Amino acid sequence: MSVPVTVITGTRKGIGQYLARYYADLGHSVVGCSRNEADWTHDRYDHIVADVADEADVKRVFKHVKKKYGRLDNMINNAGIASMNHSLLTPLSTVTSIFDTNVKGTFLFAREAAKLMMKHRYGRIVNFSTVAYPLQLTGESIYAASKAAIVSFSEIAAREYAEYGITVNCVGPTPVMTDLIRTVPRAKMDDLIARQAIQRMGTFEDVANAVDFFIRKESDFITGQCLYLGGV
Amino acid sequence: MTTNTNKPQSMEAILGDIVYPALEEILSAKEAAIEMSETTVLFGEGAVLNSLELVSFIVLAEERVNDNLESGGITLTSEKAMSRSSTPFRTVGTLAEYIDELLQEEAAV
Repeated sequence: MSVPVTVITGTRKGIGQYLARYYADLGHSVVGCSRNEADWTHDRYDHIVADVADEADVKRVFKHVKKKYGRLDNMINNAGIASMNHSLLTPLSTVTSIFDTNVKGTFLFAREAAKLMMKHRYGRIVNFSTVAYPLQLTGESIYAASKAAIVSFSEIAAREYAEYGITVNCVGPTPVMTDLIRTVPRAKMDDLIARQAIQRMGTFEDVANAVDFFIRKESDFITGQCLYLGGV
Repeated sequence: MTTNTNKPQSMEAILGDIVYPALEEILSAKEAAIEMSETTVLFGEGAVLNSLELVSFIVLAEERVNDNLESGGITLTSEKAMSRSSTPFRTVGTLAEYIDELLQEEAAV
């Protein structure tokens, strides 16, 4: 089999950077993007500056993938933003920005990825949800709602894309120590972790393990699922 | 084949390089031979494509349009297309006219 081609969003730092390096190390040709230039490089990694919620930017990413590789095997929709705030104190601009990045971004990348994948009747799309949705965490209503939308979108897209040999699944990570949660108070984080079956923070390796499972060639009978980590 | 450019193409090129080849690719999977012309119905009553075939055809046609553009490309299923009283996806001819319109707009940007 030829080298897998993998697109990952939000690769400048955190989980996205870890996954991009991880798959590049495994021999994948990886194309990543973020709103700013990446300060790291890899022989098998191309970075494109793009806003995931901007349709023209997203199309530019896939034009690059098509020109350079002619196909796409894996799409990992990692890019996401959060804002912890009581809904009574949440400005509309925050709602717009969270839904733009999390929902519009996931939709645009899944749609354009599927267009490229359908020609070869093969593809794996992995979207990112969160345990904040099933745990119904207070202070995270908009973030959780955006991630619930991603689960719902994935479940239906899974049915729409099945015809073309493309699977669509979600990973729902527990808190992992990244910039996304650095400002969350320790007590709140401890409360959250206490509600998990396995009570510890998640790691980048935990997330990669779940993504690995979904993008395996043998996972062609698994679609429309959301795998929450930590036993949530 | 047309060259890689953002300039508008002739209707003949749009039909010959984009719409007909994309339609041919989809129809080739069908058992009965179907003759293609500008009046061939793509969507609605009398359509030669079922709903899934129409989705595949639109994606293929869009890919062919975008292969000839220097920019990231256009999206055929825009808000504008969906809100029209008569769909541009009704026949081969209406789709070709719609693509021509989009390419002219793209060239003007």
